[in-house]
Amino acid sequence: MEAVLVDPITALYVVLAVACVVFGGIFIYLWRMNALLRRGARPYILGAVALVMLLLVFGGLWQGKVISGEDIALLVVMLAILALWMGIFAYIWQLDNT
Amino acid sequence: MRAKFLKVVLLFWLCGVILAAFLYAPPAEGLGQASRVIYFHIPVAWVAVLAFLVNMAHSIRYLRKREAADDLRASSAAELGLLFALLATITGSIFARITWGSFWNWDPRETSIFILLLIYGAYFALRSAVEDEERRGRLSAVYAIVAFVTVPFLVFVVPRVYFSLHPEPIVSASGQLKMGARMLQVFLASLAGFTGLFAWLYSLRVRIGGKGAHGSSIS
Repeated sequence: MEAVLVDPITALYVVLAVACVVFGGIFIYLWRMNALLRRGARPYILGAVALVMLLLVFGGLWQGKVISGEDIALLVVMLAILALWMGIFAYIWQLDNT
Repeated sequence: MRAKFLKVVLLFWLCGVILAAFLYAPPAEGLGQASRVIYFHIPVAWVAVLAFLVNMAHSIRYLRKREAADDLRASSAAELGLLFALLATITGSIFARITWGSFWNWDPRETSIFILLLIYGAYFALRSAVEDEERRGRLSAVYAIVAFVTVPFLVFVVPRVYFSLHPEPIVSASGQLKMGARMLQVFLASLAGFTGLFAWLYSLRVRIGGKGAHGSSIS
């Protein structure tokens, strides 16, 4: 018996929400660190990755309506978190080399 | 060169963790897919504790040597500790909503981390209230050492002594590991990855803190 109050697909998107909070919080911290520098990094790569992530998530949500969802949701969430991490990495890398 | 190599390793390491969290580790019995939260939520909490430990260590060094660099390192570690403690609280609340029905339940573990947030929030309140650098460093160093005394108690002891809504601790009171092999492998890899991420953020923060445009810190 499941000990959660939501279905498996929603649970996966909750995992994505958790990852967004973690990486989003780190992003905000990096943004404030960036402000301390005279010539800060511009997170273009992060922006591009965030866009890819949004496309993946919405594409996955749309696909989930047409095809049986749990495997698709798993893939979408995983790719989205991967994209998020790569974006954050790129931002930290840019900041590190500024 | 070595530092760049390690950073690239970190990139691939955490990519591997994320892939493994969804493709290799099975969902836990009872929690199902929601159990994948542990690969993000617990490492974040762990990093908070580690950051507070680093804060205490540099505070002790500062009291011994009275070098400004140690004060900068201590406050940088505390900043990151507070950030990660806040992230652990928020992510924990999200998990609580889908498992216990509400975002906040005054569960012992939730209460403990909330108290930690207050304790270290007060650390920055203290720092901002003292203008003299040497006095600020000294007072906040003493505070940080005393504050860290509460951390093991709040994080490791209280949740095991009192009944908690939280899932069973990974390491039980008798010292046994309570997690499947695959889950444990990915979990430990995630811990290592987030520790590496903390080390990088910390080194960056210390470097920027020492060369900030306004000579000030984020706090």
